[in-house]
Amino acid sequence: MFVDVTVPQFAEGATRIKLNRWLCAVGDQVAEAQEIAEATTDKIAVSIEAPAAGRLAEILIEPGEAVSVGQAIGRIETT
Amino acid sequence: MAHPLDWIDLGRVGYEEAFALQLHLHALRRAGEIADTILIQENPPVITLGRSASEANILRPREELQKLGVSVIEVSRGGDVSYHGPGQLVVSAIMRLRDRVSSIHEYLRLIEQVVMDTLSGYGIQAERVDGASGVWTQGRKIAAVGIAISHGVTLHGLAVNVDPDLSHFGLIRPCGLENTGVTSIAAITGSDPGLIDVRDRLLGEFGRVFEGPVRPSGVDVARLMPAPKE
Repeated sequence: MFVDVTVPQFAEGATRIKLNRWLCAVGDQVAEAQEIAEATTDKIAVSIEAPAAGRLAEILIEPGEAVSVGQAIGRIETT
Repeated sequence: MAHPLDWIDLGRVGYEEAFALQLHLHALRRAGEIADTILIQENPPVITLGRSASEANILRPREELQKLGVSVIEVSRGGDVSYHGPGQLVVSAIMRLRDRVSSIHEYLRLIEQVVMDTLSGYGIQAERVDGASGVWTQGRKIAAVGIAISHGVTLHGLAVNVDPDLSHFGLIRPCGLENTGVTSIAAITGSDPGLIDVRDRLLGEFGRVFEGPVRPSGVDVARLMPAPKE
């Protein structure tokens, strides 16, 4: 099963959210709640955590791209 | 239910030792072992690089910084380049977001409100500026704000210029902005109220703005702190 990695809901209201970097690569095994990516606004750094344990199957958004709340940035194949 | 705010004042402490402690407290907060905690400190001169920092915003060569006793380190908060040093009150808030606010945007506005209300107590009218971080008065930055959130718990916070050496801010382009000045409470009011006075007023405003009782933390800091570097 595939689960989307999304920009956290609490980032709502923040302007200009940008995906800053991925902390793991496609194919990496991740634990549930592991920090796997970072987004930033002009004032706040936001950690993005894996919604489930599994393998990072796909990266949908590259560093430097703008993102919005709830947007899928990657997909995890659950184990 | 009102969530308490515990506070710890480390006094003058190295940025990296204090940050290691902050990460400890963050883990304890995530585990629900401690209450929301406000960590207060004053640092020896240091330039910190946030996650979106550009090296070009450090305006002097490293050798010159070394001679001035200013170190440079990378940190996990948002934002660009910041300077911290003696005479500046650095305040980190380790708060579980969902207990207090519905978004990081709201949290940021409350942190800025704490700073503005504290400054108001010294007769300083301060404001937010669109497109720029921090709190400003008379067109100059008087407090920096930089926040990170991880696992729903906040890190970092704010730094108020009480009476720092303002010339040190000339070593950087603060938060990547061109041609902006920096000021302090002492520069605006003509007298230095002292860090303790500002700390106590800030804590009072934290309690008021975040609607929780403010109390000294029972955490054994000495046990959690790494030994200071010689």
